[in-house]
Amino acid sequence: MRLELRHSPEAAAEIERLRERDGYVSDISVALRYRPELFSRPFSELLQEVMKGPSAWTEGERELFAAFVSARNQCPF
Amino acid sequence: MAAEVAARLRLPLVAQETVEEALAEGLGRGGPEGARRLEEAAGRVVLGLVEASARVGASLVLAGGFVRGGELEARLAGLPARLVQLHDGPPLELPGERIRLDAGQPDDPEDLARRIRRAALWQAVAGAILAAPTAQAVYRGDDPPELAALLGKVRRHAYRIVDADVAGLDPDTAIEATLGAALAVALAERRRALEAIDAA
Repeated sequence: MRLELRHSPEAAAEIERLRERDGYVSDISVALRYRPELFSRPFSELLQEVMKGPSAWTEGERELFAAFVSARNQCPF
Repeated sequence: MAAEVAARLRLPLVAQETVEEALAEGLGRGGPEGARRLEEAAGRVVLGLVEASARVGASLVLAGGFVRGGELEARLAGLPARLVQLHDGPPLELPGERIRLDAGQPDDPEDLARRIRRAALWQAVAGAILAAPTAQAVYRGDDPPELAALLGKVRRHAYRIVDADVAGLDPDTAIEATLGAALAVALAERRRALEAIDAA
């Protein structure tokens, strides 16, 4: 059994649009659209800065670091 | 360095020294006692500017030769603001991130600006999560008993969480508690990583 998230009407409509467009919506997409002020909005800003902002590392290298850490954490994302 | 960092962050710079010089220009220094009073007045002007900015949620760079145990330290600590402290001497006892300047070699202002920006964004993430009471309690280690098993997995090996771990839980409670537990671990790991980088 999974958590039954009660999304806002706007978020629910957006999820539905994604489902129609892609045929599926990932769990992470559904979770990130739930109460975005709690996590996903500030986290997305941080993520954008860390992954795409100015850095001595290229974006590709940063993606590689993220993939390595995810693999260590046994996370498929 | 403060001016270079402020320019890169595109933030106003409030420098205690500049305020003091402006006051001296207008009022004169007036001997050792006058100089002491000017310094004190400059400190109060700076504090006023910082507090007014914090009240409206505006960011700025504050530069000065601040010492531990002063009024400024106590009042900065009480501000409803996210603080990132750059220091080359003993840091002030303030919440938020501290970045030690390397006395041996000049710091790159671009790198410092980047570290400050990221530290502030991390604080924004933490602030958003900890605004939720359940998240705040779990962050402190005060776990609701019915969530102990789930939160143990969140902290040690989140990939082992299965549907049964969240069965019957209130979604808001589960999500807030999960974020509180994950944040505590993430910040501790981040602190360790930054310490390792600084020590390298």
